[in-house]
Amino acid sequence: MPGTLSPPAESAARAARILGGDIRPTDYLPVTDRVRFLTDREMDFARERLKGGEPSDAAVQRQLRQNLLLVHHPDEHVGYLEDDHGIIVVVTGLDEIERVIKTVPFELRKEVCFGFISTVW
Amino acid sequence: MPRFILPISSKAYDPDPDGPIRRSLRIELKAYVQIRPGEFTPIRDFRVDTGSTYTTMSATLARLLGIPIPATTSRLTSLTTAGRRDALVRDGELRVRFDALPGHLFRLYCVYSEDVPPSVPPLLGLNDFADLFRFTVDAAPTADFPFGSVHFETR
Repeated sequence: MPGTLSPPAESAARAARILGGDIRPTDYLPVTDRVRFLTDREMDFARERLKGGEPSDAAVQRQLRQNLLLVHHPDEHVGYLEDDHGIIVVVTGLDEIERVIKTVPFELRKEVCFGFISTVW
Repeated sequence: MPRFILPISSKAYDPDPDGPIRRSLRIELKAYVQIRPGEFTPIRDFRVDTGSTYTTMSATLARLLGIPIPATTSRLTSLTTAGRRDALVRDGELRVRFDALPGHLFRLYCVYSEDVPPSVPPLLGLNDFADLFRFTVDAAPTADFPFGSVHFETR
């Protein structure tokens, strides 16, 4: 269809937009019910370990961010940005990651963190 | 003495409906890997692994990220929980920085393995990560580190 992009071209255009600094609220991984459930479950375990004490906000945020990646990109290679508002996955899959590394200037991608989101630890 | 503290991460999962809920703990470290002079790419999940003899990384992953690895290969046999494994490896160096110590560049001896898939996280093993850092595992829960923490200090 004229005016539309194929999925790979669309994801490349999105990555270019984000790396160019045009970040939109919808780019952030959403905190879904599943993310909340997994975070609450870990924090319940934390409270047990703390014998009723409360985990700090930093500990809760760390767990939530771990679960954001696990829920939205299980067993995937990703490249993502992280800021005070949350996590933005810029690229997924080894082919896309390789393309970004080879074609995007280092200055634009230097904050993109790469890794595999393993569901098995 | 430069130092930093890392949380121990926790994840509960249910690999078998007939079995118990499992809980995994790990010590993971975001490291900035030098690709070229002045260029450092962040990698999210280096694992501190005192059960690993060497600092190890998938050679496929290293090539994909642009990390320079040597051409010379050799065979390395190691004992894993799955038994003896023989791998084709390239002995090289990994230059890294860490968030908490931005002014420091660490040069690690690294075994790049052709037999390790890119989905396996890089390991920071005894040889020679433990030569660079003294680390203490503290399992005592605190509000900031409910699953425990690890204290690192440079030697």
